[in-house]
Amino acid sequence: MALDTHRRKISSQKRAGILRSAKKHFLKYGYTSAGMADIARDADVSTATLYKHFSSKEELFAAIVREVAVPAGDYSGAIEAGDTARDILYRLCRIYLSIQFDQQANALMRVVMAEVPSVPQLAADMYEVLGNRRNDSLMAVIDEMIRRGMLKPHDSAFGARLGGGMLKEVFVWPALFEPEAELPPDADEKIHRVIDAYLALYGPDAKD
Amino acid sequence: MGLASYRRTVSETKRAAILRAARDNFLNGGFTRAAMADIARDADVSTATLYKHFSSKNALFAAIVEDACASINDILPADIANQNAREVLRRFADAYVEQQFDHRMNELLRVVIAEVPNAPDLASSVYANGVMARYDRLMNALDALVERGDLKPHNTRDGALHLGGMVKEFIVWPALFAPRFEKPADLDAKIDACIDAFLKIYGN
Repeated sequence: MALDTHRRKISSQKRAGILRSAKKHFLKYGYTSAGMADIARDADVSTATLYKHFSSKEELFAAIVREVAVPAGDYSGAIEAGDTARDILYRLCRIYLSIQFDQQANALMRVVMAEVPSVPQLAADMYEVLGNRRNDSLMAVIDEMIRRGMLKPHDSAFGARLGGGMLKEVFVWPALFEPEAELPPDADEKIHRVIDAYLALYGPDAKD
Repeated sequence: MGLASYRRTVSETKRAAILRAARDNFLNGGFTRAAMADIARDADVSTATLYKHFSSKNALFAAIVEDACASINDILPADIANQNAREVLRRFADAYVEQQFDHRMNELLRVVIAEVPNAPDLASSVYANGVMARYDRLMNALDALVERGDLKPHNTRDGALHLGGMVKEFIVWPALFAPRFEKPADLDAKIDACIDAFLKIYGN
């Protein structure tokens, strides 16, 4: 292996390790109380290395949020051949909920809400990524479904917010009030009732 | 005025002052950092008086949320006999908006959510007595509308969550992430659009 390939690999391993440790510390101690030195120690790197990768705590936190949201920006695989509208909407809901529960977006949201009075930029950045940009991605899939005749033509920006709002209310909102919330056992039924609602609004057989 | 009723008035005035001071302290510094001694000082009462009214910081916070939620009873009609489904839902939405903004529920809920790791009991009690209690009222109204034939028979708990979720998308979620989120300028139109959507899904 050439020396600079080797160096790049080490560097990206260190970066991943820093992100893992940082996420752990932010979730455990909150944003203000988490210390950069502790994060570096936990990731087994020097603070100099930590600051080489992330110039500030704010930037480090923003990187975690971006990483968590990666699946939210990529719905390229959301539509497969032979899918019904329900299949696709179900997949969208599952991706959405996986970010919230498996990637711990619920807990990260709590961390930034705690800092709204002191570091408002943190929350504004998160809302941009997990709110606005996620809505844009959902909208793109909905537009593609409309183009294929799987949904009636509608204002997809508004539709994405209604759908996202219903899904969040059923699953995310209750999870924000509980420390280690998991998806309920009847998650599938609840997801399908949200999809029923969306199809009643915009499905091919929806009332005009 | 008799002595007993005088004492009652003084006591109620003090209670109201405590609740006001406590709300400001919680909203400014968060739940954990807010101190009972500071709240007592701001309310101009002794800590003994404070603890006579509220046995703990948790109880105090719960009382603030209950207070904010109680206002819904003044706005919501007891019976829906002379109102169509749209009017009933609109009354609910208006009451909700008043709580979230005028009674600062958006900020109070943000404080509660932020403190979940430190004060999980506070969160579960606020969720049960504040959030879910409001939903029970909406669900009862939806059941009555189904009964009357204005709405299709459906799982009204989920129906209530669906309507709430649509409205909250525009007035609660953005507020959780911004320090001074104001009522959006197109609030009325947004609420009407959400009610339209709900009636299209569940209306008869």
